[in-house]
Amino acid sequence: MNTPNISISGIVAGLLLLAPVVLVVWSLKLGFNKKLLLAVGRMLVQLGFVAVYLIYIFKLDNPFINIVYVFMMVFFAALSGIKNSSMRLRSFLWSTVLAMLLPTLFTLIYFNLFITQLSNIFKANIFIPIAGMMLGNILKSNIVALKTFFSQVQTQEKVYQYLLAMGASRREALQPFFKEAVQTAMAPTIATMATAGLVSLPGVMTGQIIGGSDPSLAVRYQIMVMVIIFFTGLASILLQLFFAIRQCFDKHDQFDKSMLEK
Amino acid sequence: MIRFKNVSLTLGNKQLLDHFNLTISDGEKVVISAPSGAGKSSLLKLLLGFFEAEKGKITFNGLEVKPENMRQIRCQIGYLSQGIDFPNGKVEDVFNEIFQYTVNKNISFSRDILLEKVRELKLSDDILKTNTVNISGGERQRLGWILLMLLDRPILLLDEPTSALDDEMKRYFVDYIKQTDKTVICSSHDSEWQTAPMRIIKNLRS
Repeated sequence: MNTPNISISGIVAGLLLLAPVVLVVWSLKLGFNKKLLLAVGRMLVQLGFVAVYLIYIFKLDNPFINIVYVFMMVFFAALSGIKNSSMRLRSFLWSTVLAMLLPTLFTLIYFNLFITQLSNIFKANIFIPIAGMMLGNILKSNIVALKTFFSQVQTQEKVYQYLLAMGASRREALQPFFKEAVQTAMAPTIATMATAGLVSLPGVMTGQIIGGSDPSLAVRYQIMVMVIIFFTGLASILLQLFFAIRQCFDKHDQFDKSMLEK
Repeated sequence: MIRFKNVSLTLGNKQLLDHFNLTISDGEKVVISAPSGAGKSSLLKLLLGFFEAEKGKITFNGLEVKPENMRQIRCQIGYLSQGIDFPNGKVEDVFNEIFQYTVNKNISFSRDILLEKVRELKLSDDILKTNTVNISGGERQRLGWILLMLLDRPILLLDEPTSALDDEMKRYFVDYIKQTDKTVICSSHDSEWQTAPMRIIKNLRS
């Protein structure tokens, strides 16, 4: 590994780029400077912490700690996704955690067992970054899926009732909304996959190349990462919607609007 | 036989039904022409089990209308909602989907059967390829009737089923209802429905 160092003065130089940004936002009255600075501050603190504890986690490399760490990542991913959503989704925190955790763990183990074929499948320096990679994507797509699904169910209640009257089971009558939700949520992932390498060099690859890896290995990792992101994303969305359907319909097969009011 | 016994229903803060009683025997055709907002649509939705009456009992061929019987009841009903609320998609695909539901699988359905009905009701063949969002109210209503006829359920609940049709088409469907042996509850203000053998109900409040 021969990654060029970034010194403190380098960091400062980089952060200086934010000065004109703040200036422009202020002078054009775009009104998000407070949000922006808060986000920068959070990023610095959070990533600073990550740097510190990842050093220890990698040193310890204890399977139990690694799994707990992934669990916490999932929890915070779910929490932030739900808090930042414009829809009230608080009732879905735990189902979201579960919908993200199960596919993530499965894919991680599969990745390390059959793709990288590691002897220690919980090896921290693969297990944790790959988990983070997947969660970053799932987070967005799960919330999009939930929001699309609920907005469809609410705006198209009459369609749903009409289909029930035509003999549909709850699941059959929800099919059009289910399809719309999955398609909307998965569209960006498919688009990213289709344009990978054309428009941009994706993250994993860039990281590895900067880190001094052979480009062909970097590409192989990138391809694998895209596939597992797709797999985990879809599995997670399906679970998420499956839980939501179980949670939100009353004995008359009607949508329980109070679920979105808590 | 459908029987409403002392049924009371309040939606929002409006009491629609107050100890309502009605018995409809097999094959009878009931036309409800109470004023708008009197609860005609709600009465039909009550039978479909989308919500429950706070008081009273509704039975459907001896089966009480309650959640655990709903599936069994719904698949005896042919329903035309006021807006004929088809999901988004090509007409043909929407029909195919509906005939793939578990309870509808054994009903004979094919593109030819559908096409025959489409021509019978003076719709153009192209409509099968048209998206449901791009069809007019009159076309939508005729397609709703086609679905109703093809599903061939013994009990029909019709909510303003001819509101968007011309007089000739109105008479066509009224005649169809007159000669069928199905049990029919129809909510409509159209004068075509106010004829024998229909049993006319003008008021839901008594």
